[in-house]
Amino acid sequence: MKDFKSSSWIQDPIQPKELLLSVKDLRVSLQTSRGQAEALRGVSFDMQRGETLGLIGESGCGKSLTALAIMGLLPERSKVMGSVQLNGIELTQMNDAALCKMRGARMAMIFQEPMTALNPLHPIWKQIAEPLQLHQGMSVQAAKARALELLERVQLPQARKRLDAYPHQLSGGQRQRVMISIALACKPDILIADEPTTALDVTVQKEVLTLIHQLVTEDGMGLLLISHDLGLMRDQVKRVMVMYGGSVVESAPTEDLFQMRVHPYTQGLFAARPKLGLKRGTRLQTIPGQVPEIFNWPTGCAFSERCSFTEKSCTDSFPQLESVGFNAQQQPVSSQPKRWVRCLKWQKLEMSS
Amino acid sequence: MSVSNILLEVRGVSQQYNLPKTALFAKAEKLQALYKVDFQLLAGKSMGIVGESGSGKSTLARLVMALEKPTAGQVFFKGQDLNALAPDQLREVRSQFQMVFQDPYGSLDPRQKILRILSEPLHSVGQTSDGLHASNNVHLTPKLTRQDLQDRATQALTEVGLRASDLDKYPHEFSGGQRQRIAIARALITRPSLIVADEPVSALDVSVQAQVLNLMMDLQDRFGLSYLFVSHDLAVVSLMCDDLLVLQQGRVVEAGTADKIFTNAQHPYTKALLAAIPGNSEIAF
Repeated sequence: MKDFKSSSWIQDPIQPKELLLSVKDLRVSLQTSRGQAEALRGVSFDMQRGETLGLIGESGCGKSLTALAIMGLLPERSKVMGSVQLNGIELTQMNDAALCKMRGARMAMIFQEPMTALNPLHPIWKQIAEPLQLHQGMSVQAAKARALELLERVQLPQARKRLDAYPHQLSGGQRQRVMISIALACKPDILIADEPTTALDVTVQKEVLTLIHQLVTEDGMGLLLISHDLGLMRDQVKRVMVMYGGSVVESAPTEDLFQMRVHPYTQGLFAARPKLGLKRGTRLQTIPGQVPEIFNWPTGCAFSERCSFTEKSCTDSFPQLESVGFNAQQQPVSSQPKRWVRCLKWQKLEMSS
Repeated sequence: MSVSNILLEVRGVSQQYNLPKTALFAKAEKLQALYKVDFQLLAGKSMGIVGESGSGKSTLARLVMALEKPTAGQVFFKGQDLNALAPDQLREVRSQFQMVFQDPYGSLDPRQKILRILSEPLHSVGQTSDGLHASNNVHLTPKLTRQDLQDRATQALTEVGLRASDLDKYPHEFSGGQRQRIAIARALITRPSLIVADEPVSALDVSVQAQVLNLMMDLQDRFGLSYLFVSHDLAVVSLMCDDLLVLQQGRVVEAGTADKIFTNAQHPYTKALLAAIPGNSEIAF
């Protein structure tokens, strides 16, 4: 892919690899009691095989919805426009039966709360064996044996004894390991992890993240990691996309983003986070106002109501993602597309580093 | 340090729970939720309680709030042993310590308007001198008129940055951050000297979390409040608290000033907690 037009913009410019997932102008509108809500407003990105990509943002920005739209798990009455292609196969037009063959086999998802995602009535081996029997036609015995291998691979202690355990007999971290082994059972091409460690304790969190990282690297899977935790992104993914108001507002290689933020929202988000080592009583920087409601986006830029740089032009039209680059003196230059920002005035902003 | 300066003292507190019986004739097992916890909190200072789930943080918060009796040890609030007080006296002292919970969706009654939610603590703590039980008397507290309640509630709301017109709304009309402000206003309305906050910002988004933390710090400066701040987030605790208590399986494994613990943790468990913070490899970004 040598073509960096607006639709296919997120990729490693140095090493073109095999394109795994391509999302183009994805729009989702939800039917709510208060009318149609444009929940996703044109999300586009590409992921190469083996790439790790992070989605970050606050509640209501559309990050989980992006994941659900890719998986085909949106509520029934929602409308999807745009395109999602996995290995070149279009997913948005697929019927349910065909999608079922993809889910669990080619793409898999780990959810935030393993207790609600697991079935409390089935022993864990059955839940791990299910995708194997369904997608790979394994016999019960073979699937059970494979389930044991998988549990050992996710380092569940005493895996053999635990095969017949029920979810309630496991701790939160152990349940999340079971979830991971279910997701990995059929060696999917892409793993979507939606806040996989938010419900876990910090020390367990680290173990689970290290495990996901290790497995993803071993199998060469693509990882789409969704989180609201900036620190976690820094350790886990190569590229981060910041979402606000149903669209991506900034996208950059993780290291670059942690060095410098361009979009005013990204700047605000980073500044608001308490960091270790702040003096006691230091007031945190806040973003004024609140996240707008999804039925009621401001015209133009979604962040315009809260942004201190807003001018009239900001509220006139919805800004496009622009490729952004800087020279050594931090002067804006047009460059190879590594960073994208959805702000009309990025060239005039002060960058925060 | 004068003795009168001590707002809260927890002395040798242990708490044991009976687990459900697993077999008909076997003895029920016991869970030692807290084991001999000691600490002192000075007026106007804040104490952070850190630990993972099951470490006894919330049990300690409930004991300090006198919602449970410890199996051993005492909790002193301004020199009074909370568990030795008569119910009437306890109700009176209760106006001086209030609690803010983690989940701003679960802690506000969805069927009550904000005015009612905010004035509830005034009904239930203030009016015991004439022998009336507060619970029988929710609408007709003798000392406070409806106008008084309205005024106090308005004042509390303005202190947390909401408007007087919000008094007639229901909790569902507010966002998570606003609800947590309402919960803080409800805690403030009795003019307490101690607020026990059990994970008050962990359910909130980063930018909203910053607003609520700033508010809590402002209120502390204005009213000389003390916080007992229960959290698993070390960065938040370091910002809010003077002293720290690290709990592991019901025992205090490390205690001291926040600065000392963050720069020079001694216990392996504290070190593990610090090392586990995502992105902590390079803190300063």
